[in-house]
Amino acid sequence: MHSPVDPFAVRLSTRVYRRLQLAYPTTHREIFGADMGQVFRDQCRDACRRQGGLGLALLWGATLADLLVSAIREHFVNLQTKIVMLQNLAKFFRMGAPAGRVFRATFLITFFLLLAAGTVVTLIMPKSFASTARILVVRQDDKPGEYNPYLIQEVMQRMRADEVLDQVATDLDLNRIFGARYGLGQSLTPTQSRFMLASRFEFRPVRGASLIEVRAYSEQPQEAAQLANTLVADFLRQVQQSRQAPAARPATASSAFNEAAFKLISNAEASSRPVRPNVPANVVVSLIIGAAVGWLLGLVGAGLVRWRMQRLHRPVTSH
Amino acid sequence: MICPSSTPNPAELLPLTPAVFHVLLALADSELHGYAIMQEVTTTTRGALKLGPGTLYGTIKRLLAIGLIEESDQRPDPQLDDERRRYYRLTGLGQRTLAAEVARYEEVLTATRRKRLFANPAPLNTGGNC
Repeated sequence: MHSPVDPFAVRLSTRVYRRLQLAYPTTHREIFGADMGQVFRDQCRDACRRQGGLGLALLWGATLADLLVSAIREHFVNLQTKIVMLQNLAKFFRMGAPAGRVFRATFLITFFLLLAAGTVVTLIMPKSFASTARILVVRQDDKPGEYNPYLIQEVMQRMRADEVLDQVATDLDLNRIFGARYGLGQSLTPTQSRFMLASRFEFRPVRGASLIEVRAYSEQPQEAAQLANTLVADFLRQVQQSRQAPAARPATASSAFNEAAFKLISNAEASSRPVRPNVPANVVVSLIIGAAVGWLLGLVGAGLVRWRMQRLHRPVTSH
Repeated sequence: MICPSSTPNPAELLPLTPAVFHVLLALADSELHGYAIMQEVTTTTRGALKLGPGTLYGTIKRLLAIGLIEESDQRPDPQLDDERRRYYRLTGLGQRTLAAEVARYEEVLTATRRKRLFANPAPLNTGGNC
């Protein structure tokens, strides 16, 4: 930007002027800041060439006055623009009858209908409770803080294996309980119970640790805790049995899995607060969707009314 | 960038402020960059109107927004001038507005001369004593 022959005073003045441009509104500065700086630098060069330091001092006096007045004016214009935008927005909402009435009515009806529908659906949705148990997975040669992500993945796969889920169903008599609840009084088959159970569990590794979270979901808080605890207990028991009888070990188990030790860190406890539905979040989403859809339908309705009125009031031309 | 919001009637824009009038006048016969406009205004007003960078670019911004001037696509030869400079030129609306303002000045001048306010009034083209 600077010419190498520019005197120090010109370079310094230009730099200071660029700092002073912060007095202008951001948009003005972004569009014209560089040009204003360039013009001021040209002025500085001319002033220096003609009158030296005195010329530069006089230029600074005039420029500071100009900067003060023009910065205030630009802020004022900015404010006026914002006010005009707000007035136009207000005018839009006060659209003349009947288009304005159609917009308001459509917006309000749609908004409240969607809000009410969202709230009702949220309130009648079955509640779902979650409970979490945690187990630690370690190997003897692991250093503190170290963990093997492949081993964690393998353990999670083995926890959701059919034999573990079947054992949970047997221990908690879920064929009968789920049958009474969902099967119209008949007991479910083991396959049906296993299928239902699989969808109620979530296995998650804890980031940066050799921990696995076993989360169970149920409509009843006690049942959620019971499911998580039973699954962990059954899994640990099956591992224990396979260690005692090597022939019973799963053929596909890795050496890391066979050498790993498992420890229950925390039991699942019944929670009093449901995880689903999230009432505040659902109401906020209903509000936003209601406003957006109401706005769109309102615009369409008002546009149709205007179009219809323009057609009706079109002057009849004689040939 | 700022775009012209609508196409106003030149008569609606009158009277022009001195800064606007002289910027339009400076651009009447050539495309100029900011500093050249500033110098041209100083020359034509014999130093009576000196635009600072803030006033100049505030005026340019408003003239661009109304559509009286526009940025020129052409850039000068880089050897002759800094090609980063932005050049401006009058639009058709700008030319009509400037002409309308000059005509308004002429009317005012004619009416003033008819009033015999000046000791040595210049001869009127339209002639006729009151």
